[in-house]
Amino acid sequence: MEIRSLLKHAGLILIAITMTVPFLWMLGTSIKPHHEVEEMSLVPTNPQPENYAIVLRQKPDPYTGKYLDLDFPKWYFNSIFIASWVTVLQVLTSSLAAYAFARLQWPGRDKVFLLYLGTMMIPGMVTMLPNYQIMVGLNFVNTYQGLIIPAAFSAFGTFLLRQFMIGIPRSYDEAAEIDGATHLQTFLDVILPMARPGLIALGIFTFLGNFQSFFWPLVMVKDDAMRTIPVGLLSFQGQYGQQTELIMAATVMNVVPLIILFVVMQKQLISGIQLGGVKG
Amino acid sequence: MTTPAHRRNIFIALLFLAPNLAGFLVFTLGPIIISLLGSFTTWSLRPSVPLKFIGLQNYIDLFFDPNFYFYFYNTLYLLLAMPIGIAGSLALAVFLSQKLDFRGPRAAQRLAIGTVIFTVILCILLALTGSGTMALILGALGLITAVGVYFGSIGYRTFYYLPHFTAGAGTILLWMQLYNPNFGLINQSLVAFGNLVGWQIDPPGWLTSTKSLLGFLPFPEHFNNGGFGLGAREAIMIMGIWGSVGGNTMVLYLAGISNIPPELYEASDIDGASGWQRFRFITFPQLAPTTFFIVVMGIIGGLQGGFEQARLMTEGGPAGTTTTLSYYIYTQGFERLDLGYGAAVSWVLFIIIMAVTLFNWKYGNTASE
Amino acid sequence: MTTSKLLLIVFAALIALSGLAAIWRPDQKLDGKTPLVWVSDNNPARTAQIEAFNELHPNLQLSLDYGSSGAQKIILQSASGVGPDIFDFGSEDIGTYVEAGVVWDVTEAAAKMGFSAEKSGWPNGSMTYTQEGRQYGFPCNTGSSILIYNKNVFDHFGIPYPSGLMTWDALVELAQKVNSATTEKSEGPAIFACTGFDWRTFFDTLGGEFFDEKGALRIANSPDLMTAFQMHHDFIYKHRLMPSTVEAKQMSGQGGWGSGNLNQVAANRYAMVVTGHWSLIAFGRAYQKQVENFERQGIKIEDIKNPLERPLRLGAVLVPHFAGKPPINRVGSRVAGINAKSPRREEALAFLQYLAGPVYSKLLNESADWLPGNPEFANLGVDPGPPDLARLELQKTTEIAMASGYAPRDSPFILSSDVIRVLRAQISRMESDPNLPVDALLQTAGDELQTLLRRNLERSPDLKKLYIERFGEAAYKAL
Repeated sequence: MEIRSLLKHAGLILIAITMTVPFLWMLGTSIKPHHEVEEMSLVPTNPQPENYAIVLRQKPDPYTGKYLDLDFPKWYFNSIFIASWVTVLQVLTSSLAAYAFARLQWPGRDKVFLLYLGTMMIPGMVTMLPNYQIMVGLNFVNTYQGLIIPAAFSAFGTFLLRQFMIGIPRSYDEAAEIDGATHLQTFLDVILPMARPGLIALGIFTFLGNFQSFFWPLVMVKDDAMRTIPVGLLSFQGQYGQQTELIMAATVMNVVPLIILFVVMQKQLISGIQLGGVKG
Repeated sequence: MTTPAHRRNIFIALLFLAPNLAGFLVFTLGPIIISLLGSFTTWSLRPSVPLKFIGLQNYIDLFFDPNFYFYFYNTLYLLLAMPIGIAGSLALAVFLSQKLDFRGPRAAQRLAIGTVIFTVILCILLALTGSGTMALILGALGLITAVGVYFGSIGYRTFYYLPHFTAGAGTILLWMQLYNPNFGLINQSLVAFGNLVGWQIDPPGWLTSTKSLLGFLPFPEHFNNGGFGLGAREAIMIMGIWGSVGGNTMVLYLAGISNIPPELYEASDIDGASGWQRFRFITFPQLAPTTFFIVVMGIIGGLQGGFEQARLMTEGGPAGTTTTLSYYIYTQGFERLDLGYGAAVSWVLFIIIMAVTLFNWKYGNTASE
Repeated sequence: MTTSKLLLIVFAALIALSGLAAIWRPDQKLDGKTPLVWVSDNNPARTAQIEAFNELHPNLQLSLDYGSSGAQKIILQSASGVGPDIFDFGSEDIGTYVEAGVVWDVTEAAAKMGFSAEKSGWPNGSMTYTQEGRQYGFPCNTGSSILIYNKNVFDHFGIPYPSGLMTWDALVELAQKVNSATTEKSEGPAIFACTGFDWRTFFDTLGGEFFDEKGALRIANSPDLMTAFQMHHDFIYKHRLMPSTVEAKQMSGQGGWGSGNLNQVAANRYAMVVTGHWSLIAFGRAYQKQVENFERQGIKIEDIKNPLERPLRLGAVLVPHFAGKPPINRVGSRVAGINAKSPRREEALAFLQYLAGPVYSKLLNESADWLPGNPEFANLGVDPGPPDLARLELQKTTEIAMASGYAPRDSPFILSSDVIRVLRAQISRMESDPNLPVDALLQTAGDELQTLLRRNLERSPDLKKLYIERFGEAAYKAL
C-alpha cells in the first residue's frame, strides 16, 4: 500500500513538474541580463531584477539608454478596469435573463432560449465585422464603452445561470410569494443567494476571459493608453521582440495576478464548473 | 397552453429579459443576420466596390478556392490534439481520484514538513555552490511534493489547472520562446539529452517548419510540403495539450468520477477485477455522458480555434501551415477588406460545426446510453 | 436586502474606478493649438523631427502614434472616421490606400506649397508616391538598395573587396570564394557570403514588372520572375551562398544582441548584404558597442591582428546587374500621406511641406535614415561619422543607384501588395521543399492572382468596364 501510494505520488509530481517548468523558465528568464538569455540555465548567474523596473518605466533600457515607449501600468489598469465592469454587468444581465428563463412560465420561453443556445455555435468572427461597424456608428471606437458594452451580454452566461437556477426547488419562490414579495425581491433575496456558486463561477470566467481577451481590443483600440495587457504584449513583442528578458518580465506580470486569483478562488471556481457541467 | 397568468408573466419576463435581450439583439443576433445577408453581397470596406447582391457568388468562389481546403485541413489537423488531450485529462482524473493519503493526516503532515525542511537545506547548499538551476528545480520539486502530500489531489489539481487558467497572450509568448529552434528550452533540452546518451539529435524547427506528423501521407503537395517531422502545427498542438490537459476537462471528469456509485466498484472487487478492468467496465462507461459533452464542446471550440496562435506566433505561416479557418476569416475581412467573402467563410464554418454537432448528437448520444 | 446593498457597493466601486480612468489619461496640453496625429514607426529620431516641426508651426501640435501602423488598421479606422491625420506607408502599398479612398490627393496643394513630385522629388522616385499623375503624399525617406560589404570578413579570408560595376556572375564567383574559404578555415561559426539577397533583389535588377502596360497580370510565364525565383533557389540550395529563411532565423537567435540580419553582418557572420543605407543606424549602434567593449578592456583597436575581431568596417558598391543589361535599381519610399477623411487635412499639408524642406532633411541626414525626399537637400548635414563605417561612400553609392532607379508599375485591376503577398507565399513553399519546380510555383501564384483579379472585376462595375475596354469582352469571359 505504501509503495503504491509513493509511486502514484511520484507520477503525479512528475506531471506537475512538467506543467510548472515553463513558468519557472519564464520567471528565471525575466531576471536574466540580456547576454544570458540564450544559456540553458533556469537561474541567471548575475540576476538582473531591474528588468521589471525597465518594463514599468522606472529605469531606462540599458541598450538604448531610453525609457521604453510603452505604458505598461496603464494597460494593467485598463485590463482590470474593463474586466471588472464587464464581469459585473454580465453577471447582472445574465442572472436577470436566467431568472426569466428558469423561474417564470411564459409562452415562447423555450423557443427564445433555443435561439440563445443556437447563437453559441456561430463562430465569433461572424459577428465581429458587423459589430465593429456598429461601434463606429455609436462612436465607441477607442473608448472604454466600446470595450465594455458589447461584452456585457452573454448567451453563455445566461445558459450557465439558468442551469443553476433551474435546480433551485420551487418551494422557495412560493414561500416568498406568500410573504407578498415581488418578483424583483424574490430574485434579489431568494434566487441570487441560492445561485451563488454559479454567479461566482461565471464571474471568474468572465473576468478571466476579458482580462485575457485579445481580438476585440486589438481591432477596437487605437491609443497606446487604451490598450489592454494582451494587446499591449503584442505591441511589446513587435517592438522589443528581441529582448526576451523584457518580454518575459512583462509576461510574468500578466500571469502572476492570475495565479494568485486562482489559488484564492479555486474552490469556488472548481465547484462552479462541476455543478454547471459546462466548459468555460 | 396559455393561461392569463402566463400572459401576465410575459410582461414580467420581458422586464427581466430586457437588458440582456437588448444586448443580445444588438450585438449578437443583429450582427449574425447582417453577416448572413452580407455573405450574399459584395460587402467591402473599399469605396470602389459598390454594395451589390451577388447571390451565391461568394460561396461559389469559396468552393473553388484551394486555400480554403488547405486551411480547413489545418483546422482539422490541429483538432487531432483534442482526443490526446481528453485521454490525458481522463488519465489524470482517474489517478487523482484514487486514494492518495498515507496512514492518516498526521503522517502526511509530517512527511510534508520533512520534505520542506529537507528541500530548503538542499537548496541553500546548492545555491551556495553556485548551481542555481538545480536549486530552483529541486525547490519546485520540494514544493510540489509537500503540497501534493499534504493536500492530496486538490494540491496536484492546482498545478495541473494553472496552465489552463493563465492561458492567453502571455503563455503564447512564453511558448514562442520555449520553441526557439536555437536557444529555446525545448531544443536545448533535446540536444542536452542527446549529448547525455550519446545521440546526435537534430532538433525540430518547431514554429519555423512546415513538417507534420502526417507529412508522409499523399495529401496534395502544399498541405504538407515539408514532409514527415515535427513542425509548426505540432508545436501549436503540444502547447494546446499542455494548456488544456489539466483544465476544465479534467475537472469535469473528476466530478463525473465522484458521482459514480461506489457499489459498482464494491461489486467488482468481489469479482476480483483488475484495475484496468474496473476502468474498462465501470469508470469509462459511467463517464460516457461527460465524455460526450466534452467532445461536443471540444469540436465546437476547436473548429473555431487557432486565431490567437496564428496572430501572435506565426502570422499563419510558415507557408500557411498554421492558418486556420478563423484566421482566414480575419485576413479576408480585416486585411483584404472583403467582408462578404469573410462572412461566407464564417457561414460555411458554421454549417460544418452545426453538422458535426448534430451528427454527434444523433449517434454519440445514443451510443453512450 | 443584503443583495441590493452588495450591488450598491459594487457599483460604487466601479464608478470610483471609472473616475480614476477618466483622470488617468495622457495629458494633452493643446493651448488652442490644432492637434495632428502622425502614425509612423517608433524610430528614435522621430522625437527631434516632431519637436522641430512644432517649433516651425506654433499653431500646430504634432504627436506620434506608433501603435496603429499596418494597412488594415489605418484603412479600417480612416474609413470609419477615426483615423489619424497623417500616416506612413511603404511605396508598394500606395494602391491599397488609394483604392480604399483613405489617402488624400494632394497634387494641387503640392504644386502651390512647393512639395510637388516634379519640382521637389527625385527624378526617378516620384512613382513611389504618385499614381496616374496624381500625388498622394511626400516621402519621409527614399532610396535604393545597395550592396554593403563587410571588409573584416574579406580581409580575414584575403579576398579582394567587391568593386566597380559587377555582374551577377561576377558576384556569384566572388561569393563562392568566401564560401570555399569559410569551409577551409573551419574554426568559429560558419560565415555566409550573402544576406538580404532574395527573389525581389534579382527581379528588381531586371527592372521586373508584375503587370504589362495595360495592367494585365504577368506572373505565370514571366521570364523575369522565373529567373528571379530560380536564382533565389540557387543562391540558397545550389551555391549555398545564403541561408534559407529558417536557417537565418536560427542564426539570429545566436550571438548576443542578435536581431535580424544586420546585427549578424555586424557580428561578422555575413560578408555582404543588400539593403538600404539606413542600415547605418543599426550598424552604427553595433559599432559603438564594439568600440566601447575594447575601450573597457583597454585594448587599442590598431593592435588587433585578427580582422574578425576588429570593430565593423564597411564598404559599398551598386547591386550587381545582369550581363548585357544596364544596372537597374528599384526606388523605395516610406511615404507620408494625409487621411482624406481627416477634418484637419488642410493643416496636415504643412507637414508634407516640412518633409520636403531643409530642416527635416537635415535631421534625417543626421540620423542616416536613407535619403530625404527632396534631392536638393540630399547632403545637407550629412555627418561622415566613424571612417570605418564609410558613411559617405554608402551615401554616394545610393545616390548613384537612384540615377538608374525605377519603380514597378501598378495595375488598376489588382493591388501590387496582393501580388507580392502571393509570390512570397510561393517562396515560402519553395524554401520548405526546394524540389518544387519554379514554373509550378509561378503557375500556382498566377492562378491564385487570376482568381483575385476576377473577383475584383466582378465586384466593381467600373473596373469591369475598364477591363473590357482594354482587353475586350472575350478576355474578360476567359478569366
